[in-house]
Amino acid sequence: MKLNGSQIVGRCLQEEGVEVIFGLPGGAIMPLYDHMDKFPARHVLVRHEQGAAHMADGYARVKRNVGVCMGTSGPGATNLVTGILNAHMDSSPVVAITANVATSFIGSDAFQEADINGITIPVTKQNYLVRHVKDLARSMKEAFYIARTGRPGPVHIDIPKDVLVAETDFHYPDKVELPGFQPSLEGNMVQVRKAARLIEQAERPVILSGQGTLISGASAELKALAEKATLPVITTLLGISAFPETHPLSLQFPGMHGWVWANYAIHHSDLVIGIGNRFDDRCCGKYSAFAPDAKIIHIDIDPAEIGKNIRTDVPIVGDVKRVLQKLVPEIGKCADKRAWLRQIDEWRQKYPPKKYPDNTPVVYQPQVISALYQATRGDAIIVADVGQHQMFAAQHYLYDEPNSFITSGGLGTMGFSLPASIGAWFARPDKTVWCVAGDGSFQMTMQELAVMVVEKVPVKVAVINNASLGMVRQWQELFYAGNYQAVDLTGPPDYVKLAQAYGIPAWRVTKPHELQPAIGAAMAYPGPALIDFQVAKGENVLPMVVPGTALSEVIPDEAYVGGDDGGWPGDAQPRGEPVQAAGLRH
Amino acid sequence: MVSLFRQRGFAIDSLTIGRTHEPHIMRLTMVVDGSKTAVEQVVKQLYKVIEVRKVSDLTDDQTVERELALIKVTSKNATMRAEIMQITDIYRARIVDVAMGSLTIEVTGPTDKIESIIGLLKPYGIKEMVRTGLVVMTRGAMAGLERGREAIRAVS
Repeated sequence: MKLNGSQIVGRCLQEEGVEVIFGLPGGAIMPLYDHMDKFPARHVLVRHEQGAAHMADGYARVKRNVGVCMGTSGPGATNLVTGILNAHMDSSPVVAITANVATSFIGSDAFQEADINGITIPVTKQNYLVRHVKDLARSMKEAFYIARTGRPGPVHIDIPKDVLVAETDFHYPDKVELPGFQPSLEGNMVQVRKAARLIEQAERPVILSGQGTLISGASAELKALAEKATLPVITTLLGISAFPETHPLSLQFPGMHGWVWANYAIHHSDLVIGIGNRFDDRCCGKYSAFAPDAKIIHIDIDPAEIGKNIRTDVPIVGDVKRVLQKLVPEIGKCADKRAWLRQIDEWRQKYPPKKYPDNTPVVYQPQVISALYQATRGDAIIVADVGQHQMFAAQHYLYDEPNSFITSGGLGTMGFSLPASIGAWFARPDKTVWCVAGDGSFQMTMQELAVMVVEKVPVKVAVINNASLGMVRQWQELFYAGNYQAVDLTGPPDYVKLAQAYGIPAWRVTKPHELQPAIGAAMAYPGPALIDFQVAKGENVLPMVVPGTALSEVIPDEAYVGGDDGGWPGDAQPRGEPVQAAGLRH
Repeated sequence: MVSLFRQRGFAIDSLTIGRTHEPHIMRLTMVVDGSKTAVEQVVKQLYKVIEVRKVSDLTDDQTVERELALIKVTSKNATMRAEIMQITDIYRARIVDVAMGSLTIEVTGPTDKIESIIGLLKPYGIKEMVRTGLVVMTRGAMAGLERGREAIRAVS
């Protein structure tokens, strides 16, 4: 049977089991949208293509399967690029489909033409410009296969308008032929045994588990390993939720704003077991001073990550789940670790998280996160944006269920959380999803509130509003002598009114005692809801490993919140009109 | 691939691309400065390019290396012309074009030979020069790249 290019795209999406497409049409992609009503997948109309890419990314991270986004040629395609790179940096399987001007116009600077194929080369795992309709089905098959296989990543397919209308016999290939793409999955048994011996001998070991454990679905295997050999588990920012944070062996997350005990544990360890991680600079501090006494085992599916940043004693290239399934039975009797666990516990007692009394004159960001944790009983998907609130969300919420913490780690894309939380809900509509965004981040993609209303996505939005670009302000305070430049966001919008304009009920919180009632009301509302949490302006995220220093040099948190929160006046006054509960009646 | 090298900050000294005896397979030969660039990372990053079938680091292999250069040299008079022709003979190079006041020389060989003849021709005045970059093949009966077709040569 002959099908045209647009119909072929629809059939390929069907073959791949795609449930939802996030996109926005335009001139070149109109032939494809002409068939959209016949596609089995649901199409979600976004308000900006960047939102589409982040939604596909958020969906992919919660579902651990491919997310699909779409845009037209030129500006539609370039608007996707930030989202595609975000997915690339965080190994998220996204297939981005764009249309381009007709092949006869390519290279002529035609209306809405962009060399998007050239632009996406460095930000994708693979990309295609499909010049002939006969290549379309194969390209689609390869795109989905490459996106989800090995170390996942985004794949971009650009289809010229004339290819979308050209016809050919449709045949979806059963398998791909990619001789240059053969990821090693199994892990070398010789290396696995070497790793087992090191684990048996280690007296001060730690696991440093990254997102690879979540991607591989290896949480059970990780737990088995940790419990069998009594290994404290540290999860990287993107690795959070792979290991239950309420587990006694969990040390939560390390690095620039990780807990002191986690950073000390890495620094003083004699064995670091890196699992599905990439020893990123934010996680490791100064590389030359990283875990100076430790041997390093590094398990990762991407050979290019091994030895890239950190010397490795035992490299194991493979899929985390399969490698751990081989490793755990190889481990025999292990060294006594009671002294090591006692030591870590002492650090925990000595450098605990800052304590916040219930009656502080203003709300502090960690109080919001703790209140969310209480209200959700830890059973929610938290999608954090980028900045101070992101670090607090990583610190003060305890994540037990895999894939319950989603954030932009590698690229640090402000504006990620609102669209990503919509994608996350499409992946797990049974879960409570909270979008936790700073006021700066929220304003970058807030137009997607419309999608939440129109598509009936009951995501709850927490705007952590310190009326500033808080992390930049913190760095200006610490590293630029308090010369605050271009970080004050005081003024519009009124987030409560903004939400109401979209038909979203909203509340404003300015005092700690208002936290639970507002969160409770937002969660009780059956649809999307928003809370404007007006928090202290001058609060800094601690602990902190200053860039260029070692994890051992981490600056601990203060014991208690003091009267001085950074010297910004007017924190006690609520910003915007004094609306306490502005819930809309529907 | 050039984009990858630029992105990762790898310094390429030369890059040649051409067909092989197998249709659909192109062979790239790259020369990178191993003192400035971690060759192991170059190899690993190249393997991440899905079209890449095989990457070989030929730094320590016995190889035949060839580069071709076309050099247009000023020759003002008969004496100069004779001298240049002599140099050309010694290097087993060929004169491929003669004009009033210039000679064009074609020379093939490993990089050091090319560098050497350039050094000798420079005093006469080089008007124009073009070099192909290095192509390399391992010595012996075995195909150096067994199943694959891309080569990397690191010069330290």
